[in-house]
Amino acid sequence: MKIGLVVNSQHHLEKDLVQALQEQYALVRLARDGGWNTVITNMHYLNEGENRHLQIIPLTARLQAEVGEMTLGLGILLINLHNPVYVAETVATLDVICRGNFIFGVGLGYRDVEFDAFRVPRGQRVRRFEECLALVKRLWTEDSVTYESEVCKLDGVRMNIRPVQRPYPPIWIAANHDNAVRRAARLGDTWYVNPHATLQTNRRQLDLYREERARLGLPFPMELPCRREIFCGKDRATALELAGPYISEKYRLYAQWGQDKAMPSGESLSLPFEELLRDRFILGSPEECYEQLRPYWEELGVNHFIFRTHFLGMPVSSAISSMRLISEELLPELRKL
Amino acid sequence: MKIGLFVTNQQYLETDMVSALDDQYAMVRMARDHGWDSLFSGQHYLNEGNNKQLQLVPFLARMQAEAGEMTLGLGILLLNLHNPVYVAETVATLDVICRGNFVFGVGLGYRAVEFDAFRVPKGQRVKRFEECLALVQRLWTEESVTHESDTCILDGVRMNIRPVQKPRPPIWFAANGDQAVRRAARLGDTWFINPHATTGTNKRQIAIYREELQKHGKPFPKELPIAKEVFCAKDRPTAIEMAGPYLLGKYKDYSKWGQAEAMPGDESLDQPLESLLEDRFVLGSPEECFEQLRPNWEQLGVNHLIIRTHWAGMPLSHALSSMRLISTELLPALRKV
Repeated sequence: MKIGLVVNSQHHLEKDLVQALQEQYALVRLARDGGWNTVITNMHYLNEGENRHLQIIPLTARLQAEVGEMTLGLGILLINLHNPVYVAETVATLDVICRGNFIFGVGLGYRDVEFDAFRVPRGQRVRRFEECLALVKRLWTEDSVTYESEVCKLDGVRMNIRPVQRPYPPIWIAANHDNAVRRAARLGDTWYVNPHATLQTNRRQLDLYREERARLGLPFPMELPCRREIFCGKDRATALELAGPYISEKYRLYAQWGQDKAMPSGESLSLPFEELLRDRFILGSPEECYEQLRPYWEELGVNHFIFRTHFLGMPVSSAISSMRLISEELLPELRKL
Repeated sequence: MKIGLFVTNQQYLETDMVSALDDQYAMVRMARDHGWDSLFSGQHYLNEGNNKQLQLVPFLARMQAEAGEMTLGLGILLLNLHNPVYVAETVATLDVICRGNFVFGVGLGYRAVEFDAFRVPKGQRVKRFEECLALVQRLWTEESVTHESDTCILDGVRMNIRPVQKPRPPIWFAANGDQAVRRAARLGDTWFINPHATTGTNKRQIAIYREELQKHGKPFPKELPIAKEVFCAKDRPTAIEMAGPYLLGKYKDYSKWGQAEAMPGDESLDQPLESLLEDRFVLGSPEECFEQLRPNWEQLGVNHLIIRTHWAGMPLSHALSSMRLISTELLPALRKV
C-alpha cells in the first residue's frame, strides 16, 4: 500500500498566502521525512466565497524542491479549460522537473464560472476534454502532428519537449459520474477514485469500471488510487472536534459550487455532517482509521491512498498532529498490506 | 547598477533535460552566491530546429527554490496566447511563491506557429495583448469584473487570489519594433530593452520611448533594464572562441523563427558573427566587457543589466567560467556605476 498527501492550496481570504505556502512546505517535508510516497496538488480558478487557491502549475513545480524522492502529481488538471499545446509542454516540463517521478491527473471540471471564463461552450466540455487528451498524447509521441479544431491548429508540427517517462506519465482520471467512470476506464491508466462518494457508490462504480475495462479488452490497472478525507486523533471524539468543522465547511462549499451535479443522480453533498460522515470520511484513532479504511483494499482493491488531512481554514498544528499519528501508527500497519 | 542572469533554458535535442536542469540550478546558485540581483527566463512553445525548452511558468517557479533573495522575473510571458484568468491567477501565484519579489514581463510574440497553435487570428495579436493586460489588471484590483470577449466571459466575478505586491508586480514590456516601444511607454512600468538590437537602434528607440512617455504624462521609469549577450573570458579571442558558435547558433534560429520581422525597418539577424557582434554583443575580458557595456548606462540610462552568458549547446563549464569572471571582476566595477 502506498500513501500520498493532498496539499491544501485553498485558503481563507484573511490568511497570508506567503505564510500559508511556508506551512504547506512544512507539511510536505513532514510527509517526506515520515516515508510517505506521494504528494498531490489540485486546482480551481475563480474561487467563490471567502477563499482562494494558488495555481496548480507553479505550486507543483515549486513543491518539487521539498518532496525528496516522493512522487508528485497533478490531482487534477482541468484540461478542457486549456490549450492542448499548453498542456503537453507544461506537463512535459513538470515531468522533467520531477525527473520522471510524476503523475498526470486529469478531470472534467463542473463549475460554470470556469467554463465561461475559458469560453468552453456548453455541450463541448466532454468533447474538448477527450480531444485535448488525445492531442496531448499525439504531441508527446508523434514526429509530425497536423490538426485543426476551434482551439488549436497545427501543420506538421513536432513537439520537441517531451516527458521523461516514455511514452508519457501515468494518466489518472478523476471521475464522479457513471459516464465519467466509463470514460476513465477507456482513456486513462487508472481511475483516481474520488473522496465525495460513499463506499457503496465507490463499490458500485468500481464494478462499472471493471466491466468497461473488460469490454475494451484492457487489464485492470496495477495501481488503484483512492483519495480519502481523513483525520487521525487520539480518539474519534477528538478527531471529530479537530477536523469536523473544516471538513464540514469544505463540503458546504462543494455543494454551493455544484460538485454534486457531477455525481451520480440523487446523490447530494448538502447533508447534515453526521450523515455526510457515514461511509465517507475517515475519522478516529489510528486503529479506528485503519478499520474504516479496510473495505477499500479488501473490497475495492485500492493500493494507493491519497489522504487529505489539512482542510481550508484548519490550523496547521492540527494537520501536523494528524500527519504524525498517520506516519507513526497508521502507515506502518498499512505497509504490511 | 543591478545585475541579473537570463537563463536561456534552451537545449539541443540530444541533451538530457534532467541534467540540463541540474546545470541551470548550478548557474542560478552561483549567481545567488555571488550577489547577483535577479533571474529571468523566456518563453516559447513549439521550438523549431535543434532546440527544446522547458515551459517558463513551472521552470521559474521551481527556480525560486534556488534563487535565495534574487528577484525572479518572467522575461517574457507571451500574454496574447493565454486566457486572461489564467494569466492573472498564475502570475499572482508566482508573486506569492516569490514573496512579492517578482517582475511580470510581457511581450507580443512573433511566431506564426505559436499564434496558430493557440488560435490567435492574424490582425488580433495586438488587440488580444492589450485586452488581456487590461483585464488582468482589473482582476487584480476590482471587486466585481464583468467582461465579454472572444476569449473570456465574466459575470460580476471577484478574483480572490491576488499578487503580494500592491496593486501588482512591476510590468516590464519587451519591445523590438518602434510601435511596440510606444506601446511599452503607454502600457508598461518600464521597457525591457531587448538584446537583439544594436546600441545605435536602442539609442534611437529610447528617444521614441521618452517622447511617448511625455505624451502620456508619465515619468521616465526609475528602473531601465536591458538584456545583453555577454561572455567574459581572459581575452576577446578566447571569448569569441568559447561563445561564438553557440551565440551564432541562437541568432541563426532567431532569424529562421522570424524574430527580425518584429524588429525595426530592414534590420536583419541573418549576418555573420563578425557583423552581428559589432555594437550588439559583449565579448572579451572583464575590462573589455565593461567598456563595451558603457554606452548602455552613459547613453541609454540603463540601470539593470540582465546578462545571458549560456546558449543552447554550450557546455556548463564554459558558462560557469564566464559567470565567475563576471562575478569577481565585472560585477564589482558595475556596482560603482
